[in-house]
Amino acid sequence: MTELTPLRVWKGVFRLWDFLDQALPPDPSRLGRVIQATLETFEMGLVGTVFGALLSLPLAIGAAKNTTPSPWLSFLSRGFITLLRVVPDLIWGLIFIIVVGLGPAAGVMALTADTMGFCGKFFAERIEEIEPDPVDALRAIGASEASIIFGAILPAALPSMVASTLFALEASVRSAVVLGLVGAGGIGVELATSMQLLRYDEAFMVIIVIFVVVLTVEQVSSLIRKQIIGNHSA
Amino acid sequence: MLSLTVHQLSKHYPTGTAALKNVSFVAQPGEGIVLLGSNGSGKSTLLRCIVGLESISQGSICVGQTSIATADAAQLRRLRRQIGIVFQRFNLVSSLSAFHNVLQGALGRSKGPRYWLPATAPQLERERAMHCLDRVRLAHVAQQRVDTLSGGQQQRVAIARMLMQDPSLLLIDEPVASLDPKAGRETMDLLWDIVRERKLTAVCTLHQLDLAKDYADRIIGLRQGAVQIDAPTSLLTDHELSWLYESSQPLAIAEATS
Repeated sequence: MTELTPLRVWKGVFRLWDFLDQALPPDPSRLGRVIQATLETFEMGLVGTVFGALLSLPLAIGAAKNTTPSPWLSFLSRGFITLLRVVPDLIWGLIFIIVVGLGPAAGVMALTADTMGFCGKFFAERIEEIEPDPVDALRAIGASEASIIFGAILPAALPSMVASTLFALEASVRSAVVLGLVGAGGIGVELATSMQLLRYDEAFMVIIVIFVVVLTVEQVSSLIRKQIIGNHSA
Repeated sequence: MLSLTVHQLSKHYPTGTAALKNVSFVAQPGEGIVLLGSNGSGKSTLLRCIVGLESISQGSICVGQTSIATADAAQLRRLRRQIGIVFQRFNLVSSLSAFHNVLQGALGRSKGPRYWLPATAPQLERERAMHCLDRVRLAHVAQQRVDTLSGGQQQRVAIARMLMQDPSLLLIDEPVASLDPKAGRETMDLLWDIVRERKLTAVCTLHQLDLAKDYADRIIGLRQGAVQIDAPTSLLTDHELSWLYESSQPLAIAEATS
């Protein structure tokens, strides 16, 4: 922090000007390739989120106090979810690059781990918030624990779980861009290359495409979320 | 038809509050009993103890030949299958359709995931569920979400779910407390018709004196967790029954002098 002197900031303003001077106008010559790579980034985010959300479901059922088969499993699941959360996505990316090599596969695995940390926690909290009365009623009928989970708990928790998953998707698409910078596939790889070659006009084009994709994902996701929550309260 | 024997039952909460004190009674097969008492008299706790949703501190509860306290998980599940409950606040799964809720009444006797969704449930059970909804005159709202129905309709869906379960012993917890007087009467009429036509042993908690007198074969009056009155309805006078509701001061004197 001590290096952030007024003089440096002052000089930085001119460097930013240099960057913008070289970046404008953006260079659309590789637009096709950029869009293709951005779609790959979006796909990484989508696949990672879907896998992550699906894997979160059993994890959350094991972690939530009112559905877990044993307190030990609850403790272990909670510990695992915390581990997934405290390790940043970029570090998961680096780990999976070692495991499966450079490319989108490592990115998808990192995003799966990241989504499980997020969704696992929220799903478990939602399950614990479920009103206990319908659960009691099914238990009193003599229903098995599995039927109670599928008959009373999941129907009540599903709208909120879908909403959490959409949040996770937004975060994953943003993360997927950054994961590319360390070599885990997608548009980040293009951006890193352009930056390192000091081709700021190319880099700026990449940033514009990323901006459009991230914004679209957020808009569509919030539209769907409103739809779900609207139906839920009706 | 099942008998129900409650013997010297006490229930203390960890906080030290005594919810039930030394409660004993026997419900004969086919008998319709009303547990009468004001709020906090321990009626609901008693019902929850009978079905094993609350643990027992002392005493015993036997349904048929099985003791609740000593039953293992499998026995308890078998027992619960034979005990139907109608709750004060219906306890339906609000995001599912009326039909789906009724179908869940079969979850006690069915194993396996076929019963989790209406689409995969056996045709026979689906027809039975529809028949049960028809019995409570709600076949026309079968596909509607239950949280879009009125309170009286929701209670009838809960009754249909109980019919689907096909119990021998029926526990009814304040069935009319969340309903307006007219819907309350209709619900009691429907419930008691079903109790009579299926010859069920029924234990129903109420806090309305007039309803209790109109429907019960026998009234058990609870006050502060203890049985104060236990007699056939025809032998009870209004004066005796109104005792249950008098403020604690006069009753404490009555208890001390009796």
